[in-house]
Amino acid sequence: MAGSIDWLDSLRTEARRRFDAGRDAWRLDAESWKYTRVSEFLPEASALDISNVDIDIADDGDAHDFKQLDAHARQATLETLQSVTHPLADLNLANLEHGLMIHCARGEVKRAHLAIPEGDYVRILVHLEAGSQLDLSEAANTARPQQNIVIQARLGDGAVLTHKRLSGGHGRSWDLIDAEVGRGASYHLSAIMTAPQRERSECRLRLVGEHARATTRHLMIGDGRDRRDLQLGIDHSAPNTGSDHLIKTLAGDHSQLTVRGRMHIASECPGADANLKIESLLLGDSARINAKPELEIYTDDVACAHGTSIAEIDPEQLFYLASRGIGGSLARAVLLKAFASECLSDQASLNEGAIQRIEALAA
Amino acid sequence: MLRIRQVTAEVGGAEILKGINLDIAAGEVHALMGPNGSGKSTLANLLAGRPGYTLTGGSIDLDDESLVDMEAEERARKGVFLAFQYPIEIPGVSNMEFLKTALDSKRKALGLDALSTAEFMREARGRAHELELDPEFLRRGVSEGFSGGEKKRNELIQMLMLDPKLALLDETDSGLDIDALQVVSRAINTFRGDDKAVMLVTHYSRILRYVTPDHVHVMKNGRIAQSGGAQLAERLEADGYGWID
Repeated sequence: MAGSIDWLDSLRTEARRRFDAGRDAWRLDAESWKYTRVSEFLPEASALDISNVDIDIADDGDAHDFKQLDAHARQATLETLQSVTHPLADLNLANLEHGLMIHCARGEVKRAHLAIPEGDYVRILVHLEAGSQLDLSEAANTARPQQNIVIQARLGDGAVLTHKRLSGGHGRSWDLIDAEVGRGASYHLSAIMTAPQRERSECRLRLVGEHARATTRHLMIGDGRDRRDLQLGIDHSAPNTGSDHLIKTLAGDHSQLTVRGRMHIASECPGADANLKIESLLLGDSARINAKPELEIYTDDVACAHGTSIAEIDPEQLFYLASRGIGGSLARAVLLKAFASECLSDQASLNEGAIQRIEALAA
Repeated sequence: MLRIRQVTAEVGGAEILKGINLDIAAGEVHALMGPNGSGKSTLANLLAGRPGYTLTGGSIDLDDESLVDMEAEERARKGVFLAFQYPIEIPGVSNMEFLKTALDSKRKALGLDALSTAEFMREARGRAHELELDPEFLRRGVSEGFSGGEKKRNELIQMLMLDPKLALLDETDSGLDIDALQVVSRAINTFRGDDKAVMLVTHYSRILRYVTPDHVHVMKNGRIAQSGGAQLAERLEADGYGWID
């Protein structure tokens, strides 16, 4: 099923214009691109010609393609698409091939599993009305040489989004999650980053309602010459908001893993409680881990903590296993899986690739 | 079973063992006592193959096979078991998973099929019951959040499950209350048998009231300074180590 969507055309043209106009400026955002080259993620210039791009939609029953939207939903979609300002979002919209909308009506409880459709540019909109709950899992199509996914989530008051994801791409992937969490709502993200080669994931969470909460768990595994970059940004923009973030990284061989975790607590947001932990295991002499927590606090009466550790496999634990007959690569695999366990998904199918990569690292 | 001849060893460049000779026959329990720093734990760890514990002279044979060039895991598969003085915590690995992996490794080395999960669970629960540990402990991370006594009892569950030939118990009785001491002693007595040997490292004679040793040795300055029967432990309790040269 292929064809263009008229009501999106002007928006896509405008996105292309913004991307071209701004590309020099955002490349200069030195901090967020300190360890990863932008050029590794940009397509060839010819691929930006949107006149040749159709929107090809697959509907899996839970997610509705943009073509199926009625006038009211179209308007909401347009507003959502315009609400995110990010060069990647512009690039994504200009080249959009798939657009999916998941909507939960007030109080509705849903479960959805998305196999991200074939395509380089995919946009997923998640709209949870007040009191609704969605358990969303998504696995990227790892056969693609390049994949670019933007997920925009809007959580109404008291809504709960449990989001499990396995990133993909078989060459380079560049994803953006942009979530806005309303009053008393909760967003729980569990993400496994194991795609081969180049991967960058940006995660921007805004806690905009009082008592909004976000928890994130990221597992990053690097082997060979993988380059992986996680940019996590949390904005506490309302009183009594809470967030808790744990990132575990395992870097072997010549891989390079980068984590930047920025927590921003705006003024007039007393009672905010934010925790960020980055825990890393360095498994090769040539592997590299860049871990950078950042705190920006503009309110008194908040609790904000961060911790970063980089270590090697504990030789005492290795000996303990050896003394029970568990040695060599099996012992290392046991300990690496133990290290990663807090960030593995409770959905086994999303863990399989991660387990395989951990066992390869341990060999 | 175990034959140690003229063993010298160093840790971190310091000579700790200065000529140990010891024979432990199948069916025997030997208690190894002595003041702090005399080399008791060093000997136990050396026998288990702990990295950093370097044999500088002598020989160590188990059933006429030298352990000297074996890695720790190979020694374990040959039947050597060390109950740690300070058991290691491994968060993220359940006791159950850990034990099953260890048992499967051992059975594989012996050319046996792995136990089915049901068989394994039945035995693990039974052993937990013997050690008066709630089977729920088996689901928790290895020694994670356990009290000192629970850790020691967990070590003995592993010993009973893995069924080694030679058990090296490094101060397994330290930090136990009276009830726990009796439970642990019962487990050691359950383990004893004609084809088993035990080296029990301890500071206190009280465990020897429940586990009667065949031989008691006193280490001092890296050597076995005195050996005797169970009555030697009673004298140590009364007179201390001062009288031993």
